[in-house]
Amino acid sequence: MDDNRVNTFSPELALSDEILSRIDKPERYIGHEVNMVVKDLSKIDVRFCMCFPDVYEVGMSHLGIQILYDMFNQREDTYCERVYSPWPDLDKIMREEHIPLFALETQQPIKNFDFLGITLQYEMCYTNILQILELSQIPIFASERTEDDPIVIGGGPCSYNPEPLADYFDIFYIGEGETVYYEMLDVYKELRARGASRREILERLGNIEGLYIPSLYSVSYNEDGTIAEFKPIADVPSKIKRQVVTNLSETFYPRKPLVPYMKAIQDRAVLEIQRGCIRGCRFCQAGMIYRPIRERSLEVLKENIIDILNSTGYDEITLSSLSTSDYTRLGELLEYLIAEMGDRKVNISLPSLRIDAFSLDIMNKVQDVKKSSLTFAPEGGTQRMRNVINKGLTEDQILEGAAEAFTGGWNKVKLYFMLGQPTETDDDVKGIPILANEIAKTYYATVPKEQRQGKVAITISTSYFVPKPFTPFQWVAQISPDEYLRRKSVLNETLKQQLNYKSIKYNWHDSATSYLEGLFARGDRRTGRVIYEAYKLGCIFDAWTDYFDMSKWEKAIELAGIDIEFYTQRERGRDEILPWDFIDTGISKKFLLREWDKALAEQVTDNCREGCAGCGCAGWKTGVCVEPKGCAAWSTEVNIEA
Amino acid sequence: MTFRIKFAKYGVVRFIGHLDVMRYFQKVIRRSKLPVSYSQGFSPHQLMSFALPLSVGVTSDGEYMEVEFDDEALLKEAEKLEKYIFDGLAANTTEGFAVLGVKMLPKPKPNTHQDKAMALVSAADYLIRVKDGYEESVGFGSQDELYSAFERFMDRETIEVTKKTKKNENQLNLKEFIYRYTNGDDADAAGIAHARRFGSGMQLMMRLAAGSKVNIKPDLVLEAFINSLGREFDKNAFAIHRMELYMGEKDALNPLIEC
Repeated sequence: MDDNRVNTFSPELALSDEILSRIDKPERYIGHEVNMVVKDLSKIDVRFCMCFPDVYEVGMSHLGIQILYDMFNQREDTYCERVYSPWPDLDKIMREEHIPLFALETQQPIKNFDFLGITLQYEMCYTNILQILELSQIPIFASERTEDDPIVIGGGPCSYNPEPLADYFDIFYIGEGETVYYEMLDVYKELRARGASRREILERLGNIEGLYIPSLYSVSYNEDGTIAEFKPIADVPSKIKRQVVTNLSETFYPRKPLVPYMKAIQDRAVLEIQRGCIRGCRFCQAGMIYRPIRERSLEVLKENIIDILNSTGYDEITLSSLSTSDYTRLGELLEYLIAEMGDRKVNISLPSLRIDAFSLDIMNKVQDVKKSSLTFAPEGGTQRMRNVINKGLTEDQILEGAAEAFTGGWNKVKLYFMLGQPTETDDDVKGIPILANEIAKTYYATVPKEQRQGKVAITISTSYFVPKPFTPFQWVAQISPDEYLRRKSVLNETLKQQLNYKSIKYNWHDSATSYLEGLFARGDRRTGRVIYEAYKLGCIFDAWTDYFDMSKWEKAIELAGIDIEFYTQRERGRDEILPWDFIDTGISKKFLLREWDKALAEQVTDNCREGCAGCGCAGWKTGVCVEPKGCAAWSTEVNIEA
Repeated sequence: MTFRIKFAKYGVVRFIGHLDVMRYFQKVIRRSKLPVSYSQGFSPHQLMSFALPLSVGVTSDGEYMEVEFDDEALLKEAEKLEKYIFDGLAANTTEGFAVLGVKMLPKPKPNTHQDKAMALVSAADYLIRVKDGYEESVGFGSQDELYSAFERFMDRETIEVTKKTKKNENQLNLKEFIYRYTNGDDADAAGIAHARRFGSGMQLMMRLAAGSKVNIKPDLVLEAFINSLGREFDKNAFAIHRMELYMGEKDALNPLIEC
């Protein structure tokens, strides 16, 4: 542990009492949470501000920032602080009174930091990034930044296609943060001490594996609007290699996570048990870009959770992963948790569990008597559709899982589907309410009348499919918003014809935000202008229904001179240079094309434990790729959330 | 058995709301591993209650909560129970909160109702200071000027004010509910240990009716006072610090910690 952590309580706040008393939830802006790191600035060489570009209670729930905050602050020479998006009430005041955006820890302006790191978790927070920059009084465009401005660095899932944001960032970190950030800081420190220029620093950092400096690459376009060439214009590599942690048991994990005073969205201790997923659902970007699945050892998890509870006082823990059931030693882990947590009166929440006798038994043990709802994510309404998307799950398995759950006392079921996946027909859409009806029938067939506690309550939710980079569906056309709404109506009409329609509720996701998400998910550098125009028209907090205004976005698209359909509704050629092709995720394009062909042929692919599909990640020699054969092999997936 | 715990809330956490202070102490108790008692039922919670909630922005050296601990577990752990609990809590509070005292409450006699701290509170002491940058706008040249203006205000026969609640508006004579006031020079050091300090030295101390029957907030008094001088009241000019909570009748008040 370093010596630079001090125990002085900074009483100075960046905002006056007068401002704090007239805005909503002043707790968002005062910092000083339990386990906040305090350091002596006179002993610090590098100041890093980590940003989640959404409101505090959302950003504080993000595990990635907690990991990086802990990692950076373990360095004696570095002080990592945090900032979140000021809510519109404070945004207005800061603009009127020219108050520069500040970090929560020291309450000092971010413009004086060395780095501003922004996590890119979803496309609809892009305008908030411009808000953060502008309020910080840092030039919005990277090209206008001077030697005195912080280096702005982006990371997280959306950085797998960073191009729409290329003009606003100095660096993108591609991949998992635990690997090369220390190297980056070492190089930066050395160059800074030598008085190197910003340009020089960026060129050097651009030679660290995984760091992409957009200003050092140029893009040219064909007449049809597709990319003609993407190439470096300085001495930097032409491909950027995704960073992967090869040993998750021997890396950083915060044992003293920050505990907010106000209730965050995730108000519990989080234990990340593994990274990656073996399933290979073809629509799922996370299932591809975090390959291969890598587990943290049971021993490390046991130590971590006790330390975390001791340092935070949380009364609930949750296991974090893409598919909890695939953790090979889940039984042992849960046994340990049930024994330890029972004494401490700590609840265990188990998201992403496959529904079967085992998981229901576990849930009966860990959750108190009230049975909340179970969540299944079949994603497609017919077997044909589920084969296309490689959701290797049969109707029998869903109905058996549901029957088990109903016998166990649950009577609320949530079902998640997507509309608009490739090759989807009206029959596939109609399959959704038909499946829901079958689940309702299963309830009445399984639970005798006298044991029923009210009706069964089934909720269908559909989202609007957005094709994502580095998935087998990266080439496909997104359906139009009108077509999405038509399919939604087909679903709704079919639902009304079902015998049990009164037990089934249907929610659908709004079409506008998903369509815009489609623009930025696969957009090129030219689409970045739309973000700027929208921001200038007043768009911020677009992920919040109350603030989202599609008419402003339509105007922005027009002002930017962008043809949105070119990006959303166009099927890409197999030979086309895609905006994100310069990133080497380790997953080969051949594999993605093979999977796309298999999707069209309605063929499923084995999960990583059943057989290697040759995606290309075996090169890391870690995780499932080097597991001995015969590990727990599951062939179904249903998500549970209780 | 139940313990009454006195604590201070100071510094930047003055902006933490009451519910979040409760959540904070639930975590302090979990971290301390003290054998707190839990309620029965589907979602057990710690048996904890707070006296008079503090407004956001106000600091305090006189906050109280009552926490119930498991008799058997506690007696197994320690002989000096109050010290044991004090130490457990003090080791787990973070800056902005400080445990000031712990008092074990006598066991209630069988079949009698024991009032919680909230129901016992009858008065509170407040220290009010003029913040930096507001010396001019409050309109007093010095501490003496401020205090004599307040004395003149208190010399009136009655001080009629309108007190707004969520449901209705009430007329009341404020004078009846201001039990005591001074220039703050005689304030008990412990009561103002965590109060904010400002350059002007302008301050007032007042003891006001508090609790679930009549609760007079210092703002109400300050507003009436400033308005009586024909000036507009700006609540941002004053830093409020709660010094102590009392129980008992107006003429026989006792700090809650001396139960």
